[in-house]
Amino acid sequence: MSPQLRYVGQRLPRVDSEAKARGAALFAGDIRLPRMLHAKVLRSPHAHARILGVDYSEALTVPGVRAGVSGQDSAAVKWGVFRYTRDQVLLPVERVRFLGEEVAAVAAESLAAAEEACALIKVQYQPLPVVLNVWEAMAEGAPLLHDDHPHNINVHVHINVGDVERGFRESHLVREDTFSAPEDSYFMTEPYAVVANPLADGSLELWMPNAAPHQKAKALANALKLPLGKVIVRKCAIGGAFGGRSDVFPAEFIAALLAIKAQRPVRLVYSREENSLATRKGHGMFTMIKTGVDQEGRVLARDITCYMDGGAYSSTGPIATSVPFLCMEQCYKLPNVRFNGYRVYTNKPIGGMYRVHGRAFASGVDLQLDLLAEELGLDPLEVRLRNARQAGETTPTGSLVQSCGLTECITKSALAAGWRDKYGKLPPWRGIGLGTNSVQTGFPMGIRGGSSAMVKFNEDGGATVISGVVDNGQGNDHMLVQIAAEVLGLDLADIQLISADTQATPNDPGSYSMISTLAGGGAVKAACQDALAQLLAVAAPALQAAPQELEAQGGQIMVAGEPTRALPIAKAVRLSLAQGRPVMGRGSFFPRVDNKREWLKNPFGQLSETFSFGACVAEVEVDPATGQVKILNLVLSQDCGRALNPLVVEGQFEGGASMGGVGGMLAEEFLWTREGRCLNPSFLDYKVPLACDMPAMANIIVESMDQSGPFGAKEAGMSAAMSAAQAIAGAVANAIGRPVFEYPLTPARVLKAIQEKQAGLPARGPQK
Amino acid sequence: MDQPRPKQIFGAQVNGQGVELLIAPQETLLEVLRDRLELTGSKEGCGEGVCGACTVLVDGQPRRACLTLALEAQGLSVLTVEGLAQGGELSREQRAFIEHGAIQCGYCTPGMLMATRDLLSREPFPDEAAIRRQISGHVCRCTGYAKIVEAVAALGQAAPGEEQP
Amino acid sequence: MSLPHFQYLAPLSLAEALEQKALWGGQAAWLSGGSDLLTRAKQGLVSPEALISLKHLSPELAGLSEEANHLRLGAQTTLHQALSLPLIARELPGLAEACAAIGAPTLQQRVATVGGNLCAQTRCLHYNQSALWRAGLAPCFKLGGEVCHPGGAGADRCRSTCQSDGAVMLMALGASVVLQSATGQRTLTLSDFFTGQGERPQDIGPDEMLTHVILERPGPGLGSAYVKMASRGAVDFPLLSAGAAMRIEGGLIASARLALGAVFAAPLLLKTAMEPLLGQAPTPENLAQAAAQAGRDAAPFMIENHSTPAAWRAQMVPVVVARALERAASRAQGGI
Repeated sequence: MSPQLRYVGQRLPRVDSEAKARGAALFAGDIRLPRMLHAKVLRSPHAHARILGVDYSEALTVPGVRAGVSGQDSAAVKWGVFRYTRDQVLLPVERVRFLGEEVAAVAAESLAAAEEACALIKVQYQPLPVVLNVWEAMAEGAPLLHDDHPHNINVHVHINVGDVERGFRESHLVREDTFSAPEDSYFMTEPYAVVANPLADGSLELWMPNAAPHQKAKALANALKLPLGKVIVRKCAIGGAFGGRSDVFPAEFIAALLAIKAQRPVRLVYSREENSLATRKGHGMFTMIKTGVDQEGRVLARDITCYMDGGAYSSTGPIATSVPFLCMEQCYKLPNVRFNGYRVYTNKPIGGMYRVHGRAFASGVDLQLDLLAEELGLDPLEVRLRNARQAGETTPTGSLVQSCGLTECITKSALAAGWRDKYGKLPPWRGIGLGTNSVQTGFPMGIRGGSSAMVKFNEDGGATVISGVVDNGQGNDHMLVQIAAEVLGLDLADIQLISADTQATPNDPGSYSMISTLAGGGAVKAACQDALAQLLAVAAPALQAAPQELEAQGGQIMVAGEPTRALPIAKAVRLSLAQGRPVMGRGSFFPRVDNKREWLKNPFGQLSETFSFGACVAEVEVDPATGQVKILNLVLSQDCGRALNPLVVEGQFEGGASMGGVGGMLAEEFLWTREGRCLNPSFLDYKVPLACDMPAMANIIVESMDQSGPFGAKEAGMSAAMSAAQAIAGAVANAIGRPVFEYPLTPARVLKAIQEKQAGLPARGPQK
Repeated sequence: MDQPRPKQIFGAQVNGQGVELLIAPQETLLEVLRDRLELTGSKEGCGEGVCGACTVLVDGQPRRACLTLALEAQGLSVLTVEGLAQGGELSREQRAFIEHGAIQCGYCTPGMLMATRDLLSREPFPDEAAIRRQISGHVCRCTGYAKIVEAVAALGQAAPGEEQP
Repeated sequence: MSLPHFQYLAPLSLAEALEQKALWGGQAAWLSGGSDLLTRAKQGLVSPEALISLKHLSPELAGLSEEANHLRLGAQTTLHQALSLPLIARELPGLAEACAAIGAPTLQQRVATVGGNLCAQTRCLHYNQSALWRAGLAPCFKLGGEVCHPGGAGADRCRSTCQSDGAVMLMALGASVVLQSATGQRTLTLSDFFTGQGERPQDIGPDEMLTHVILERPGPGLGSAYVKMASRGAVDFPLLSAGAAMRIEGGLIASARLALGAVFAAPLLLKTAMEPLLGQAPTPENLAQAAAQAGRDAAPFMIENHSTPAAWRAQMVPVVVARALERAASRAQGGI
């Protein structure tokens, strides 16, 4: 292998950019097939109702309508990420549980005909009482969404490590605070869309924005009772995911049913509102945090109870309930810790994983540390450093942290932001805050936890890489091509990529758990190394050298240090073919995790092979008359292992800080009516930040050179998103001299805190 | 009631090519571009004129194609993202976006590029505030806008002599 | 979200347009920039039989003419054009601020017009939603029904609010509008043009077109300012806004007009709160007193129909009023 890296660490334009700049990249909604029909879904106008009957016969009489489906056609197929969470009938038969849930659908020659027909579908509902928040849902006698889940508790994650009570007894100072935030939402710019195409051999090909083509195919094959090989999820350009494309939606099931029924391709494109209500949303959250520290601010014990508003169905429930806790236990030393996480069913759209998963958890943990530091007369920066995770340590639930640049992140962000000159010394209404976080690189997923890849050489010396990794927009395609070009000594342009197509590509866990670089990149690296080794073995005799003396560089195979003794790769490839030894590389990466670890039954053991760490320092200015917060500066740092492409890594930091920090902490929240209608499902009313709302951002890349990741790389972006949120919460508290416990930090909430302080009232957490 | 009305002839120069179609009066410019002309580069992100992904230039003016009746563009020139490259050569805006890492998922990119073309045609050397103001009608969820602002700023920094069409 | 069927007309002259409108009456709607109308049409809130495009009327109806005592601003002037007019930039900075606060540069500002902003419908958290969203809800007053969803059980009228930035500022500037029909024309002050009823916010007949906005010549001593509170820096309707116009002569306030946006079905003109300022110096104390009075006067009118708590918005009234008055006073005295 090349001793000097030509691509790794370089700022490179992404290989997928040109097609996107030309408007030529095809997203699912851009795909048009011959004889394609257009589908429209009829949705429940009730947040909770019994379905007494669905009749779409009149809809079928509309000219141009070719097929209709309702729950009656679907054999009540249930979906759930886990065997024990199969609670969502993909097309409901008996009951709808949130406003906007799919009830029936039609496919027609034109969208207008489908819309007209949809309005003619007759559904009889018997409205049922609704529960719209966790307290209503858990109350004695509350109506149950799922009869087998008392108190509407969908998931209970319980973790208890060490002796928490003793830890509190031995603490010098103990604080207890409650933090809350309503649901946030992805608002990826591409609304959801599916194209389903039935093929003559009985198979079905589909395109949709997804975060795991192989998981989609498996779930759909189960639901449609088709062999896995007959359900082909194809690759298309994807307009963002942020956790919101992770599992399976009724949309693809409906499109598939309609396509099979009509024996025609069917395209179903969601409106923005449908994307908001009928894919996934973030979880609403109440987090009660009790922390005990010694005199130096070292955490001795922490007890957290968290109630998460999960909406109508389980989705990734056990994961979603655990991840906020896991991020925290990875980031900070915790000798004694207890966690009770409850995910609660409510009559609202379904909660999923989110880029800043648990702002009322992560920000709470950090803000409480600030408050403890203040009471102890310590600098919060010092307290962070004392508690910061170090490489070689094991998390409370048993994950070895093999590489960790957290201390470097904290130190560098603080230095760049001028923390020591600013903390406690800023003019009135200015504040500075620090957030730190850690995220996983994948979870134990058994047989689906690893990624595999193949590489073949073409006659002209180029190579084709085949990988199951999907690109949601973050740059995974480029990551794979760059790794392949680096290993094979080829130009980026010499690499063809076939990816995220279940007909062609080997299994991959998906891109939703920050695992793609580690596992998918690792698999491609291994496959390329395998292919190269085969090629060097062919070239060695021709170059009169031993294979281990050879390296590939610039399209040549050469004797290391002797560039004149070289053979073009194209020649070596032809030689291999002439010898009947075609080069086919294969490789895989199965993360070393404890596959006996289970989210509920056994939340112990190695969770991910490695973890990323991030820190952010935020400086803000608060208008004391209005409560409006202006972010002046964000200094983002992350230990991403190694920045394969700093241009891409920075983009992940900046995007993360926008979504998690600026939007997530200042403005983004879903609002609801008493009947369970979301008041702001649109881009107009849900306040995603715009260019004019963004502060200056500085990026600091920290490289801990992870021993497992490809070229040392781990994960980029998500810990930046999380730590930005935490830093802003701290900075606002610092600016107004009092914590705010409810997020996002809207002017109304901040002003209320300022006025309560001025009135001498105690700082109060959220009310139930 | 909601009954179809007679179709009308729609004619325009789209990316320099004359087109003539029979369309229904209620068809939006975005529907005509995407569904009839198969120019799917312009995206629908919201359908209500907020996200900016459908922005095209009509007679040089940016318009939300999703909120523009096609007939409003009757007889006019329409420039979409597909029309930026000339003879296969990427335009300077496209090159700058690629080189500065301003494209992630790419869904907002067509609208951002059209906003950039519009800005630079009126204001060849915009400062950062002007760039942010110009693209503030375009939602990007991936980049935090930083690299997009850098890309546009870099175009504005080229000396006039170095400018390429 | 497909648009409903309608006929499309594009008259070549104002006279032709007015004749067509007289024929169609309330079954036709004027199509100007379209950002308000077409969005509501997609949501099924309006379904006109015909749209009469004003695109050919710009030569007649766009631009500013300076007449002896007043300014005539064509209703088809786009916000972008208004912002580019030197007289507006120089002498009516409040109006420039209001126009710049609408939408975004490549969005509404290039196609949306001054007249369109004045004719925009009032907005409501429950009304401005899709057909799917409203399915299962009884039609509200604004849709010809007999309930108001944000108003609750006791509500006897529509509780939507005027969120047009331009309308608020023009109200503060004491503007009038010219409404023309095939048979004649009338000129209404904005106080008369805006009805204060959410169901039908503007007094404009089915055969009429808003053709011009008439403004007093600003002249020296007039300062204006528009202050908007919103969640974002662009593409956002106001949570609360204030437009102020103040004339200062010899160091004393000769006139002061103030209008609030996003609190009531019309821009809310607060006359009595400004009266004590007349003949006074524009000191911070005097302006703050007037702002506090404005907060008290506005309280009974404040409609709770926004994504942000009513209590905070109520507290913000004196803040935005004070800021608007201060900036207007400063400009009246040659500041910026």
